Amino acid sequence: MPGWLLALLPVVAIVGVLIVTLRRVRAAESSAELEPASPGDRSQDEDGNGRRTFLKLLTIGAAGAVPATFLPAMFQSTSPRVRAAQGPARGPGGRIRQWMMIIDLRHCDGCQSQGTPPQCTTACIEGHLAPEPMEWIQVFEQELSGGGTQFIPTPCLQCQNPPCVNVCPVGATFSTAEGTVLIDQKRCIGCRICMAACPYDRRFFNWGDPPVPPEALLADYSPDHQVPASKGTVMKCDMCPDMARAGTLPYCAQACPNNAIYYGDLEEDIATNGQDVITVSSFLSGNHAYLLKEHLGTKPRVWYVPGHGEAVGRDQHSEGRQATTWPWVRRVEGARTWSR
Amino acid sequence: MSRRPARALAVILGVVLLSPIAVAAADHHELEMDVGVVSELGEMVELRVTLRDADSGTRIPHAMVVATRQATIAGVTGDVELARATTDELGVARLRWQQRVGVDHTVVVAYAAPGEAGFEFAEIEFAVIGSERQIHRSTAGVKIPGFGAWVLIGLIVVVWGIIQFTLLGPMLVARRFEAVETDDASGGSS
Amino acid sequence: MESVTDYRRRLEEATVRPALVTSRGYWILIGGLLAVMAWGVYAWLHQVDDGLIVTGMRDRIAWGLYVSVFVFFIGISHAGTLISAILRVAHAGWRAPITRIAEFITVVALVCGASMILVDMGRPDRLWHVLVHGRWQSPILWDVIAISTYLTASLVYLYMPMVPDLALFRDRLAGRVGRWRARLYEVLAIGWQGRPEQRKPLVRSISIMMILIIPIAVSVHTVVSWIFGMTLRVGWNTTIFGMLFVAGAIFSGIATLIIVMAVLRRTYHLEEYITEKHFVNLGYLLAAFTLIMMYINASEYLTTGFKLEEGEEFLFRELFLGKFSTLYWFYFFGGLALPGLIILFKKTRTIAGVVVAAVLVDVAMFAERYFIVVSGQRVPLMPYEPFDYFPSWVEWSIFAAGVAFFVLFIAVFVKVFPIMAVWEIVEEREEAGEIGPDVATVPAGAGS
Repeated sequence: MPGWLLALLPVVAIVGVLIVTLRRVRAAESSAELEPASPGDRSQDEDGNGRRTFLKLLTIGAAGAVPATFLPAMFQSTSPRVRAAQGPARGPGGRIRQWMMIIDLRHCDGCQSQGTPPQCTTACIEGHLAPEPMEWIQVFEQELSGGGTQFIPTPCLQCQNPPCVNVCPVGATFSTAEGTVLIDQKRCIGCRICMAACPYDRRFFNWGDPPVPPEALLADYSPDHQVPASKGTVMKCDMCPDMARAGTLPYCAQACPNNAIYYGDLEEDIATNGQDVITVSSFLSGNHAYLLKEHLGTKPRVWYVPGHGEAVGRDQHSEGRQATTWPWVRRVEGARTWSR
Repeated sequence: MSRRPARALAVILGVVLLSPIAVAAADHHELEMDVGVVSELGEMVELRVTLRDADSGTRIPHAMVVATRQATIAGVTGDVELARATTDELGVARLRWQQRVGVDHTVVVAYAAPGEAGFEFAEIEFAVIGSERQIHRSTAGVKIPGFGAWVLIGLIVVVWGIIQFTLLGPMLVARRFEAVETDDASGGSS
Repeated sequence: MESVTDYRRRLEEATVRPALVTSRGYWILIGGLLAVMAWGVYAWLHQVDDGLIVTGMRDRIAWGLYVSVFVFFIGISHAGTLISAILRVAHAGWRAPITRIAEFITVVALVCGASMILVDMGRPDRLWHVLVHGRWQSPILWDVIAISTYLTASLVYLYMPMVPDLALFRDRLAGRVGRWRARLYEVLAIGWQGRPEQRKPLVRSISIMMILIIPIAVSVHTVVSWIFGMTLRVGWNTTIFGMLFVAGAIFSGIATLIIVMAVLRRTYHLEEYITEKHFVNLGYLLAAFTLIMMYINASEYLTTGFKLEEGEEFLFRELFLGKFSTLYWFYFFGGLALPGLIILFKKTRTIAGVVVAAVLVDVAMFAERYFIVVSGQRVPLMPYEPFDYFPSWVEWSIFAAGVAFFVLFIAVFVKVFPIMAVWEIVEEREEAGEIGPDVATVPAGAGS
């Protein structure tokens, strides 16, 4: 039974009670219609357990099943749109890929040596048509104890205990079988509790009408490919599931000039940065990789190898990076943007 | 994750030494590899390697041995290092890694004697069983509501039921009114 | 000693009079409130058109004035439960003249609060998603369930004790008010004649509800607090939120009740029934809650401040020394300490004094809701500059419209429905021995 029909049950019950009492009152007024009652009648009414009362009880009790409204949703944890789509990505042998990333901070200098804004961010913005000021992968500059800074490119960390998925009231954000976290903009109601819950500042809201280039209007929206964006909904990095299906690296990994971003599969235990293919487990343990805010228990799937760009010649005291720009947004006439 | 009868068989096979496979990849070194060729997904693979001189047959200690395989991910193909070790005094090295490949594949063992420039290579085929087992399974957000949600539902049903039960009160009030009016209409009095 | 009949007659006159007599000042008030609401609707339409970009909220502080006002109104709604249910369970007879007002406030506050959330949604057209796709694991869904349960229960709990008074209106106002209004009273009075057989089921239903509504009300504001408490934000990630919010809700509820009581008493000359004793008793309750609030604040801030984990030091600087310090210290001294002192000293424990204390409390509690919501998001999650949030004109307009809606609703209620619970007051006076038995017993509300 559709959920909205079940939701009407208690409304029907309460309205029914009101109608019944109204009719009683009206019937009593036009007393000519009433059958004469014997004194014995009242004693039966006294207990209130006549058959009609029982039937009314039954109706009311059945309508107490307000929560039945929610039953249909309980058994669909993911949006039907996505479930109907192609199945999860699989490796050789048919096991489901468990996408993950390793960001080698020894090789990240915030693109200072390039003299450009961070290229991972730029490629992501252009590739996904992310509205200004969204930086789905954002390069933060973190101060180091002892002086100097390091750059930390931060995509959505695709948590395995995701606070955002846990709090969403409508299941608009959900975890996939590959361990990634996606958002269905067609279901999002814009309550923004997921933004309050994310401890990494990785979710972005479309406060106004997001600029949409003409070509995007033809696209069929799906959580795998967040085009076009819609007002009043939340967006974030999705770890490029469409690129994974096409068998290529995500935009950020492809664009990094120092090949600092590794993208791989926990299941098969391999990852690549575009040049080398490594064994994930020994790379992580051998390079003392860590997780961001691990104590929060979110269990992210993005690891960081500590560093400050020393492998590409950066000294930790050279601070500052170029500010991110959104070139594609200029192409859209009358595009309205906002600050973060 | 179900126990398969073949697993027990694989364990036995793994323990049993097959006939040593000797491949002479270069002129003067010979590599002997002892391993069960059937390995189970998720279990540790132990490859025991003996390096000896091809002509004299003497064991070669302190030689580097590296096991790799070819892998493709996100469109990039490369050689993935599985394990590396050095041969001991008896020329024996043990390479250990966790089997993470779900299909039959080839492992290339590269070896170099001390003082030699350049590696020599040997290959060994692996057949893998238990490949339908998923080691990392993402459960977040996919699971159907658990016990707590059912308790909550039960509680809400009870509370709403009580609220609607109390609406019987006003209904009975109206009923009493009708009874009284009936008496009045038929000439009786309360 | 006055007889029950005479007392009742006077009380009925006082109750019926507001429904009959409408002063010019009333219409001016209604006009003004409607104007404010119209402006609020205009602001809201502007927001629907352009999106939430017209507010001051952005990604880094994504919840602002709307959510603060929502929490504030839901908090106020606890007025009804405390007075009506808890005091009824405790057989505190003095509550009788004010229960109706308290129950009104609950219903109106819940509706106002819920409407604030609708305004805050990015896609209000998708509200039905919450019903059809709702996830039981989400704090927002717990909130929806709790508030709708509480609203339903409050409506039932408002209606049932009101039935005899609606019968009074039906009988007294027949022919003196419009056709639709007369019909309304007839329908809602469900044929009440004051007979014992009618009393019994009604009293039983009321007894069930009075017990049930207390845990429902406690759960409502606990669940509202968990919208914040179930996240990992510094300042919100604490287990004390449930208690803080429930105590704050009852606290602000009492204050609002005092204010509304004072206004209605003055406007409709109910001085005989709502006496200084009521204000003083509610004042004592208010003072007790200032102590409870201080205790909870001390528990939270002393323990956190002793340890000063990462992020807490920044939060404390913002809260006590920086951006939110004006709000916090006004809340603490103006909203907790000062009202407590006003009620402590006999000289200031007058009606005027208690009302002043209540006004201070309500303003301070609103400030508290605001700084709790905003300061929790002010602490940077990653290395970036903290965001400066200030509500825009749209948010202020809609807030004003919400308050106007609250006042308007109460003003309309007062005109249409009986503001005094006649039968309960008479019962209480009889039990207290203030009025004596009649020579002849007349059924309540049966003709006049």
